[in-house]
Amino acid sequence: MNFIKRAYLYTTRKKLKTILLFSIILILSTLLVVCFSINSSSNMANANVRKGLKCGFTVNAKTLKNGLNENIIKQILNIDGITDDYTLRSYTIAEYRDLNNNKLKTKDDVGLKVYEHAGKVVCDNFSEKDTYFTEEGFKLISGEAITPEKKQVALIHEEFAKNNNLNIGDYIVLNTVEGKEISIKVQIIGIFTNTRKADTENYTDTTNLYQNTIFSDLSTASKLNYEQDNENCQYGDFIVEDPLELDNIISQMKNIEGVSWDSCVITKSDSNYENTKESLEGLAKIVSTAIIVIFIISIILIILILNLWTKHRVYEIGVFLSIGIKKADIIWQHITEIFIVAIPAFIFSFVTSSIATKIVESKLISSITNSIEISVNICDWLLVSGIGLIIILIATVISIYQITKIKPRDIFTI
Amino acid sequence: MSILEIKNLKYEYSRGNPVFKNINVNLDEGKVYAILGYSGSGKTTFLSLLGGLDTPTEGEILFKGENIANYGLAKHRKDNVSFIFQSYNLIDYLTPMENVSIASKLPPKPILEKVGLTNEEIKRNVLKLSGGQQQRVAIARALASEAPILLADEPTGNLDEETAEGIMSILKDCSHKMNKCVVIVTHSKDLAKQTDVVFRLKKGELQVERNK
Ligand SMILES: Nc1ncnc2c1ncn2[C@@H]1O[C@H](COP(=O)(O)OP(=O)(O)O)[C@@H](O)[C@H]1O
Ligand SMILES: [Mg+2]
Repeated sequence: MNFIKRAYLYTTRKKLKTILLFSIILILSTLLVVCFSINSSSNMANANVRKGLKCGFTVNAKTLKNGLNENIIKQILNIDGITDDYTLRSYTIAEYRDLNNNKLKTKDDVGLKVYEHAGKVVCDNFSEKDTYFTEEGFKLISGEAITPEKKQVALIHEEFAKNNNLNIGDYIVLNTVEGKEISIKVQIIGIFTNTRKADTENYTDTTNLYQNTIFSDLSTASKLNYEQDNENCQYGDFIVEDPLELDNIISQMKNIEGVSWDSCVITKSDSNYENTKESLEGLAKIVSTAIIVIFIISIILIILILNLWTKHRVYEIGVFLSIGIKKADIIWQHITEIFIVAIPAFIFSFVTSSIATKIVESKLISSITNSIEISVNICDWLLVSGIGLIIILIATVISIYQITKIKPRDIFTI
Repeated sequence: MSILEIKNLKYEYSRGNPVFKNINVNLDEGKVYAILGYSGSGKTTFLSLLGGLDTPTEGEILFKGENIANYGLAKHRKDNVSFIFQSYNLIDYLTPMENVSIASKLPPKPILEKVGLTNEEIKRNVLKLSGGQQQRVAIARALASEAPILLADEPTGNLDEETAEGIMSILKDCSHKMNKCVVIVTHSKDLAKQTDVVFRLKKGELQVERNK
């Protein structure tokens, strides 16, 4: 009779033990699979939430002599984890003239006058992504937005266009108001309007009035700010894929050479992440604590039970040894027995944990957050089963090994 | 040549306190030996040395002329000897048939019938057999291994007189009909009378009490 047959007879005839062990393994593995599933699902949900948060940072390079150049921007965009969704910005104040050098009419009936016939020139690589358009209610009513390939172009306010009789296709001239005099001719490619009134209208500088604002491109900005024929800019806004990586990415960026990063102001925009973080991490913490606790309890319980049961089999082991059955053969019998019970228990735990996760989802998780859908992940289940089998195997070998250390002589006194 | 030759055997659990020493004796096939002695006189210890369950402090045990220490104690236990214990030592989750099968490839049924178990009894749970029946199963298991030496440590210690008689006659048959060397440790002088040779362990020495 070989050890497999003996193991089979043991497990089928010691029914109570078999059922008990089966139940214990089933319950523990179900608990673990459920916890792992909640963990995986909440991690996935967290990652999705984080990605949807659009966190990032802004580099303010206004103090740098020549701003941020294209090469640096390219290097920043090459850092892993930075999305293609970026904007570059520059600001200046310019005096507006027509091609005949006549000063154009600006709004000056409200606000504080500092410069006349002048306004704020907002230069973007993508005007559509500018906060004036995304948050402050600006709307393009005709023409096209500014995109990176467009150079020496402008978007003007509806009212400014009307007052100066300007249309799409017309040219105007922008002149610097401070320092060296630089002027640049730009073509109007679009007309915008504001859908909301600025509440600061009465006490702001007239150049800040919406009606006097012009949008232009980065090459125009570079010319006016730095007197250069490139697209150097003052600000860069970058979005990261995962807010968790934000600090890491910023420090990677600071390793890029050729920029005096200390002179730049880097502002993180992750307040929305910081706000949701706590609720995201709360569940994760509970679950990972539960996993550790259940794991430890399982290990202790399994080792104790197996040890106790094996101790009761000293007598049987002694008999086997006395009739010449090898120790290895006895160890294999015990391993086979435990596997006969454990493997079906682990397999069955897939069913029970699937049912349990559904119950947990509807009864528990939905009261904490509704952004999570939990299902048993096969990988989690395989992981729990695999680790479980290894633990059981080790526990079996340890407990049986102690027993086989009995000297054959002791068989008489058992 | 004797199947077992015991030469100058000495055993001590602690240094300077031998349980016995200077034992020189030869055991033959086809004979039943009894070892008498008070409790604690070293009978079990002696039997365990013969069975290769432990190594002597001094001296040697030869099986068919070869020192069992060289032959290998585990191999000696497996091939050459079978044990029968006072407490039967049956495996409780196996039937008598299966208990006999774990020791050998021989068909268990004829052996169990030989020791007097019925067709029904050999398939019963061993714990539901009487003490005498359980010891018969243990003897059947010992016989199944086909070892030429049978070592029995108080095999009838838990049995009433009549049943003990039955077990004794089976053991005698094993020896005389199957040509085995049977060594029985016992308290009972009555049972010892039925054996061929009677030894007594006394004050650390093995004395021959009777050799018919
Ligand atoms: N494992 C042991 N360790 C130390 N002393 C032992 C051990 N086993 C038996 N003894 C001692 O050895 C002596 C002989 O024991 P044993 O062979 O069991 O005697 P018997 O079988 O004749 O009753 C006794 O004095 C006993 O106390
Ligand atoms: Mg004894």
